[in-house]
Amino acid sequence: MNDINPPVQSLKSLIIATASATLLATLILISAVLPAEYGIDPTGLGKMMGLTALSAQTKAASQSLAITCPVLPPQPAEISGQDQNHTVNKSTGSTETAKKEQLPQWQDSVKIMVPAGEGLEYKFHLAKGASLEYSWATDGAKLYFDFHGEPQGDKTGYFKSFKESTDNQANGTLTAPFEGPHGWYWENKTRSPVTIILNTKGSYRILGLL
Amino acid sequence: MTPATQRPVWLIGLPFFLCLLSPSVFAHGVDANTERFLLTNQGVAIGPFLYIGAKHMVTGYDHLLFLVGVIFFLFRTRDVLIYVSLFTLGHSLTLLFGVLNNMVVNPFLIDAIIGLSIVYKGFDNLGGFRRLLGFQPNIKIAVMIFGLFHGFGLATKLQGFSLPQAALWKNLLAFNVGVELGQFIALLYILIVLDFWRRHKSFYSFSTATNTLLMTGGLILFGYQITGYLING
Repeated sequence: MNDINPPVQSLKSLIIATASATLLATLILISAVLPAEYGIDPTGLGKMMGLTALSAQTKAASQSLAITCPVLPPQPAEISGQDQNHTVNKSTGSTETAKKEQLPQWQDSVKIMVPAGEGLEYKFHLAKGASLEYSWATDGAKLYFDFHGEPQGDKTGYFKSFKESTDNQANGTLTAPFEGPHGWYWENKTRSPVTIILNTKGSYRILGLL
Repeated sequence: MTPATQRPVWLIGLPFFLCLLSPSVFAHGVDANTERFLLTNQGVAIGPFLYIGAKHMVTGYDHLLFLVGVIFFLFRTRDVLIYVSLFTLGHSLTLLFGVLNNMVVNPFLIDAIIGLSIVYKGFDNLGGFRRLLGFQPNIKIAVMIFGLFHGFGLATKLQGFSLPQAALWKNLLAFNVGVELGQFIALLYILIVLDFWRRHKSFYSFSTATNTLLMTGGLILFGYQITGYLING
């Protein structure tokens, strides 16, 4: 065979093939895929086979996993019209240049979801004396939080708490008293997931969710 | 080797092969561990990105179904190489271009188009376009164009994460090479099975049914993704 020459089907068999493909696909979609993936169950078959539970579980699973999806570029609403350049967090950023910028032009912005009834930590590695300027806010609900740092390599479980409260937002600047991971523990005591947007700048390295 | 002895082997082999494929149905996209890694990773990580790319392709049933469609009637190794290269060129272009330029494409829509690419190929394999239009739309160009869409699909998967901008291209290249490695591995399996099947009459008697099923698969993916688009935007 010189080139590809698939047999050309008759019009009748083409119609049969297309129709049966469409029919089969629709059947599978309506009876299985949509109920299982999205909980859409027009026929009630999905519920009968227990498939809708699957979509409920996927929802629960995706909620229990705190997703951090960085907001790029930094939230324009909080910045006064300056051109934002894609800033990359640097572990050894010069603090002097950071001070020159008067306005809080955030370096990193991250969206963190705290599942209902759970707690999680989000951290940055800071060198001794390094500064971390931050501002976070939830989508409404108040969270218990503990802003703290742990000395590098410490195995005793010691940590120093900088701020511990229950609120729906906080901001400030931290100058690290020692080298090591610094960050927040948030606990969601409500019955629904809470989303936090955390904006930061300074000389740090993101450790992320722990 | 008589067909009589080959048939049982084939019958045993097919379910086994399907078993190999079935877990992949749930593994598409990026799993939780990979997601965690991608979210916290800050630097150049050639190895992990190679692996993620390869895994994405090996477990990416949409790409695999399309490949099955493309090589279904390709009997010569040379043709397989040409068409797969075109597909590779297409998806590499948009993967690299899309990620490097921060092009935002809706993943649901892209995956829906990828579903349609499978439907197209299945219909094409039935000779549908020649019957309806009276001529064969250029197969090579079609593969290339759909390759471009598949590349955007790959790009959206990567863009879901904050890839560190600093050495982005290194990780991206690693991911791309991984994709090609994964494609090569998957292709080997597909070719072995197809080659084996072609020696049997059943290949020809079932080729219409197979391509109809291919269209079915594409339509399911299309419906799945379009619904996702309508719900989640």
